[in-house]
Amino acid sequence: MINQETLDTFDKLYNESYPNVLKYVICNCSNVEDIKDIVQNVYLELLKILQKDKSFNKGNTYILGITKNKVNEYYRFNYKAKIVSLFSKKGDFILLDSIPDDVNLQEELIKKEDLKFVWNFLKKKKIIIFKVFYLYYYTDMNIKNIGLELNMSESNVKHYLYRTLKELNSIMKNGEDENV
Amino acid sequence: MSNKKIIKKVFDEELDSKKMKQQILLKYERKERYQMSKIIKYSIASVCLLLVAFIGISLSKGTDILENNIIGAMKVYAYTISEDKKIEKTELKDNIKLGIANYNLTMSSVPGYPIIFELDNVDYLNIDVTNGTILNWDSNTGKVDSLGNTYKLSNNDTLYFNVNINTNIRIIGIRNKKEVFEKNITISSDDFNYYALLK
Repeated sequence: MINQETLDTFDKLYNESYPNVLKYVICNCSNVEDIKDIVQNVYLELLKILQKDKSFNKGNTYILGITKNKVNEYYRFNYKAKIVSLFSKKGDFILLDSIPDDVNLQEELIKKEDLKFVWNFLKKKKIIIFKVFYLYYYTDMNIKNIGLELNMSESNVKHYLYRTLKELNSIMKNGEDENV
Repeated sequence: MSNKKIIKKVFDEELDSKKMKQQILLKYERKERYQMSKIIKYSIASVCLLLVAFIGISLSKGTDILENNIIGAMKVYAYTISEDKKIEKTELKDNIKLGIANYNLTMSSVPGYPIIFELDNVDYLNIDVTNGTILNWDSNTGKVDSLGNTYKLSNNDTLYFNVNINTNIRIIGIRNKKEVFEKNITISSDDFNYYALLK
């Protein structure tokens, strides 16, 4: 059983580090399905350390170190696949200044099942699209930084955002779900 | 609601830190429980193995103890005369002098004093007679063989002894090639009777 003291330390460290850990895992994973497993492995390891070392006083950097190890370990043991950037080559897509707001997802989307629908839609897309969406919409990262983070051109980032959003909007409007 | 808010909500819903934390804690407890059950399982298995080994050793030792502690014995019977002058088969007991039935070589139907031996937990008896001889009588054919002074008796049987007034029959019980007891039957007599005394 975890004692209260350990639980309190864990809570503090978890709340501080979770956004960074999640971001690192998402940016470095090969599959959306792996995200939760890897994040859980990171914090299980942290709990194990906290149970052993009652005077643990390391912070975010240390937890990020555990995260890196866990990502590598996960793919070494589970997939034996290297994490290779799919986009080292710059694309030649039309540069868009911003993602047009005319591609609006319907208001009804806010229903829980619709949120699940969008999640499943993004999950089934290429992992790079999922990463772009996460970084752009969830972490508020700008397109330039997303390009740097994912080692791809800004135009590619915009292209993925625009095309995917458009596709999603069209599916939601027409109620089509064959492609999802 | 803007696209950003909706997509953010999608990620919030699926990657919610509170939900994730609950899952982590549950997983950790499950893992701990599994580890504990593994430890318990292995402990039980070890204890069982130790117990089995202990029982095995105890049993094998116990067999030795049992084997070593079984006291080899025998029963010896002779023919005695009862108060109403009848001849009866009587067990010779330690230190009890029994009057044995008169035996007359010329008149008796048997070749010597019959003594019946019953073996109990012994492989055989080494019988050694001083001042007398051991005889074997085949009751079917009537043939009598002298076995000399010593004889190895492996089964329950009746042996006949040519006795004098101070014949001593030494009987040694052997089990597992070891002597487990030694007894002596001494034949003595007064003017009228013969007596047998087991010691």
